[in-house]
Amino acid sequence: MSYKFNINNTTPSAGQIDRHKDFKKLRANYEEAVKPLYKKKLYKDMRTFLVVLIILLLTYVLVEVFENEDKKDMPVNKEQNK
Amino acid sequence: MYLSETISIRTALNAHHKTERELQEELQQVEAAKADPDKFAVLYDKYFRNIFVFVHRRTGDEELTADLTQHVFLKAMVNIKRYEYKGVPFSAWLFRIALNEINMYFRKSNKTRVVSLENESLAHIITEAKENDNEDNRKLLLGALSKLKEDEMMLVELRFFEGRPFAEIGVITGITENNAKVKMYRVLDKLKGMLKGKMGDG
Repeated sequence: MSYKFNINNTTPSAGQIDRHKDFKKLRANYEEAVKPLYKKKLYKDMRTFLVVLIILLLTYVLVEVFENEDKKDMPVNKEQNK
Repeated sequence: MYLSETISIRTALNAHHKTERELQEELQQVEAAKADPDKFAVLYDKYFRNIFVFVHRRTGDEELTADLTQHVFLKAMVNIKRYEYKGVPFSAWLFRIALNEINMYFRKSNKTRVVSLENESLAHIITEAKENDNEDNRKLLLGALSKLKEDEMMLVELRFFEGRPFAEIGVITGITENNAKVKMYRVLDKLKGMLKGKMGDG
């Protein structure tokens, strides 16, 4: 890690610091963070949305593959072919 | 406590000078916040400025500091049920979360980490290293400091630039008080070696 040294730098004033203080926002973020997954709107969280999408796609692909394999394994009815 | 326009660094950072009664009162506030998230507002009001200044000294950017500070309090609020009293103020636990957030940010972004210090702090380290405090040695010391590893720099900042007691440094860095002392003296030896080596070269 590289460092930049700030010597005798001034710290933001109390007024400047207090401008960023917002407990209401923190409370709202907290509610969102502790909300159970089933109550969350998936489209709002891109990461969760993508994970769910990938799982669904994989499930679809697997189902398709197994269905095709099942069809191949089925014995051919010769009479029907005649 | 209201910080003046020319905020005192030590006052803004050092929330650790508390009596046993004050610590017990604070513990009650923490227990109340565990039971009711709205009660966390008391701790938020009490430590917002301390955490902001702590983060600002390591980022040097007001907006980024505001963002990281908000993350620190959110993490604290979400995990407060896991908090265990270790005989030091609640702020030590908040500083620990802040340090993790700061380190995580700089590792991910690959940006240059800011280290804020006062000239007197440099003089203090030079005196500890039993060298003469002059402009040349201060420059050499800055060069030596820039070669420190992340955890070593963290200790120097907490001890020499912010004047924290070893008990609090232990809680902030997640090691024991004795381990913090041992590590600190090793870092000092390393700095002494670097200073002497450079002086020998010159």
